Order: sequence, then structure tokens, then C-alpha cells
Amino acid sequence: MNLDLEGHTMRRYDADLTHCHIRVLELGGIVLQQLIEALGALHKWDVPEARAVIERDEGVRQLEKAVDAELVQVIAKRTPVARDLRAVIGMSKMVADLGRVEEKVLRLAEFTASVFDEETSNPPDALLKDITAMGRAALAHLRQSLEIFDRGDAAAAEAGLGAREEFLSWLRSDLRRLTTFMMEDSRLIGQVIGVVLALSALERIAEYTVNLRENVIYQVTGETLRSPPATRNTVAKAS
Amino acid sequence: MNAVIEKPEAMQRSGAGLTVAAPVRTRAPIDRKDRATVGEQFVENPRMTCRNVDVYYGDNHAIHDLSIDIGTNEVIAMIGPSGCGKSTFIRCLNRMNDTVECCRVSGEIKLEGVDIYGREMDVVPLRAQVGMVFQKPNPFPKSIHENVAYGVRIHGLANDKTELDEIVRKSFERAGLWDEVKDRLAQPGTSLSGGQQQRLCIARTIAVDPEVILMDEPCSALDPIATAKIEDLIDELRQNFTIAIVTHSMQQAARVSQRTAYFHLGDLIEVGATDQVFTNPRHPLTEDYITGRFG
Repeated sequence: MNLDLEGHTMRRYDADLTHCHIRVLELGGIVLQQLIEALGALHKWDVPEARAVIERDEGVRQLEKAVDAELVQVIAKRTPVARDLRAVIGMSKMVADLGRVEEKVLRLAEFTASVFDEETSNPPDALLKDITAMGRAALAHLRQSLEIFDRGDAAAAEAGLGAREEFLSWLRSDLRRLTTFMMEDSRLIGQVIGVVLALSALERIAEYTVNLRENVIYQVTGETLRSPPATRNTVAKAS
Repeated sequence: MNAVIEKPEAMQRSGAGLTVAAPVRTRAPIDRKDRATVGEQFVENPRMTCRNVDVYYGDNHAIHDLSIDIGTNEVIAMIGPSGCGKSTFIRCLNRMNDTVECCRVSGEIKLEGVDIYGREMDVVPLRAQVGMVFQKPNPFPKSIHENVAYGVRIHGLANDKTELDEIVRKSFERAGLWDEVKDRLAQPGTSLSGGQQQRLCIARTIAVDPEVILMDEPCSALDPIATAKIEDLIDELRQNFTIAIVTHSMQQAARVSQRTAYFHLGDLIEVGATDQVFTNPRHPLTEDYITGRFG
């Protein structure tokens, strides 16, 4: 990888940084798995699986806290500078972003648990197809971002920065389409709102994975990328 | 680092399908031709200017073609591994190297536009203008008062005893030592603690109203509290003096200086704003040294 965390005269320092790197990847891997299972539960209308995702959230939170504490320990013990400092700060921000991804995964699982567990009829497939498509894309994006972090590949990270706008415009387009369902059948309004919230969660996940890429660029080059504020009034724009 | 990374167990368990990266690369050694100085060597308001300075100890070429400005009212930190030439360099700034028989200095070093190696330069007033604080506190075997008064007297900076005492008091105050010594001025300087002795040496240096203060690892013999007091003092002295400090403590360089210069095997490798050098150094040698990968 380009971001070489080893080679310190004090070998224990290598071990500390490498350990943190692995722990962030571990957290990323578990959050990724949570997303896979949350999307799978939605796709298969599998309420128990969605509930299992919700139950595992506490464990993910504990891991997030533990990794955060380990990063603080490295700062306290090693007072890192230059690329080591950037590596630690970057990882710390990634832990926060992965925590936010987990929050949105939870939102998806809760949507699945509520929409398929009620006595009302299940939503039509046409309503859910946007979630499936955007979910697959967000999943691929998160997986790539974690691999890019592992490799410390700033060039690859930069190539995916456009995803923020792509997902946002995708969400707007989906909102326009979903509006037509509500206009045609007002009984679908409740379900459409649920779908909109799930899509919004996926768009947020994509945003956080772009943050991961920005952090990789910061770790490797020292360049801080300040994301352009994406337009948040998506519903207003869609209508 | 991934040469040693196993795929995290949790990720293996998860089956999330992340791939593990390729083995780490290693960097080739850097030749001298690639060690030209990078960064901002020159400033708008220099107090001292050094151009194409070479220093030799006999046949040993200790400093190679060094050019740098030392700005007015700045603290510039010189860092680098032992034997890299940083102490040799600051000793050139007040001609302390004149005392080393085999030492030869070429190039140009100016203080306020005046060549300090010029024929007409008298080194005694020069060393008052460019004072020095050493690694080990070295008070004279005299009273606390006399340690500071001595320099003032021999440089003829006071007309009478009242004026002398006033200069001594102000110097102790500026060195943050007055309250600790005002009731024991007649006691020997060596009766003070290590940290107090070092501040006594700083008071002695500033008593003769220098323009530049050179500090050669001034805190390396001190405990953390005495070090903190000296660092605080350096920050205050910056208002009135220019300070060049050699230190082996990276954190100290980061805390006290506005600019940092990194030396390596007699070459000035990088000079830049301290904030930049410690977060994003430009030269790989600087980065290796400050991150603890040197050697």
C-alpha cells in the first residue's frame, strides 16, 4: 500500500498503527456485512433477518467505541506527526463515518421490519425496486472505499468522489417517480414515505463512503477536501 | 504494511469480500543530489541572512552550501539526527566556531546586513548581539546577581550601580526568575536548581540586550516542569528577540517555533512553517526523521 505505516525505529509503534488500521477495517467489514444483510432482508421480505441486523447494532457500537479509544491511545502514547498523524486522524474520522453508515443501515432494517410486519398489504415490487438498485450501488461503493483505504490508494479514492452528486441526483429522480405513485393511489402514501426514508438512508451511506475516500486522500497527500455542500432540500427539488 | 496484514477475522467471518492489498513498497536511499533544500529558506524581514555557507572541520565537510534567512522576532527550530550539522550551524551565527582550531567557515553570514565574518567585526560585541544558551546550564562561579551583572558591566551598558541593579532586575523578570531569586541574590548561582540555572543563563544572555538568542538543546538536561517554563519563556522572549533553537525533541520544536529547519548529514533538507513541516513535510527525509523512521 502507499500509506506505509511501518518502518519506525520503535517497532511497537508500527504494531500500534497497524493494529488500528486492521481494527478500522474490521469495523468497516462488519458495517459492510450489516448493510449486505439489511438489503438482503429487504429483498427477501425477511423480517427476522432485519431484526437480527437491529440486534447486532449494539455490538457494532461497542466496536466503534473500542476502536476510537485505541486511536486515542496511539495519540496519547506516540504523539504521531506527519503521515502518522494524518493516518490516525483519518482513521478517527473514518470510524465516525462508519458509525453513521451503521445508523443508516439500522434505518433500512427498521423499515424492513415495519413495512413487512404489519397487517397491511406488502408494498408493490415497483415501489421497492429503487431501493434494491441504489442499495447495490451503495454497497459496491462502500466495499470499494474500504479496499481503497486498505491500499491507501489516493488516485482510486479521487476517482470515486463524484458519487456524492450521482447518488443525490439518483435520489431526486426516484423521488419524482415515487411522487407519481402517491398521486395515483393515496393509500400508498405511507409506504412511499417509508421507501423515501430508506432511499435517503442509502444516499447518506453513499455520502459517508465518499467521506471515507476523502480521508484516504488526506492520509496519503495531506490535502483536505472540503465537500461542496450537497443540496439538502431534495424533496423540495423533486416536487 | 499489508505484507503482515491478515484479512481481519471479522471480515473473513463476514464474507464481505474485501480484498487484501499488495505488499508494502520500500523507498530507495536518497542521493546527495536529491537533497537540495526544499521549502521557504528566505523570509521578507530577515535579521540574519546566510548564503552558501560551508563549514569544514579539517577535511571533514560538516555543512554543505547552506542558505537560509532567520527572520525578525521568530523562533526557528533546527532539528536533525546527531552529527547532521545543526549545532555547528548555530555556532557559526556568533562565531563560536572560531574557538575550534581546525574549523573553517566560508560563505556569507550577515546580521542586520553586516557581514559577521568581515575583517572589521569584533567578536566580543557580536557575541553580546548574538547570545547563546547551552545544553547544560553553566552559571559562573559567582553570586546569582553577579552572573547577570557581569556581562552588563564588561559591555559598559550601565552607568552606575542603580542602573546596573535595574538591568539585573529586569533581566530576571523577563526570564521569569525574579520572584524565585530576589531574596537570595548574593547566593552562588550554582545553588539554584537545574531549571533555575538555565533561566539564570537566559537572564544573563538577555541582560546585554541581544538581537538574536541561540539555544543549543536548552532543555535536554531539565525535567518536564522546568522545560515547560523555558518553553513558555521562549514564547515571551519572541516578542523582543529572534531565537534559533537546536532541539532533539520534535514536540518541543513543534510547540515553540514558527519555522523549522531539518538538517541531514550536513545538508539543509527542508525549511518551512512548523505547522506544515509537522503535518505534511515535503521531503521524504524530513518525514522519515520526524515520524521516527530514521536510521
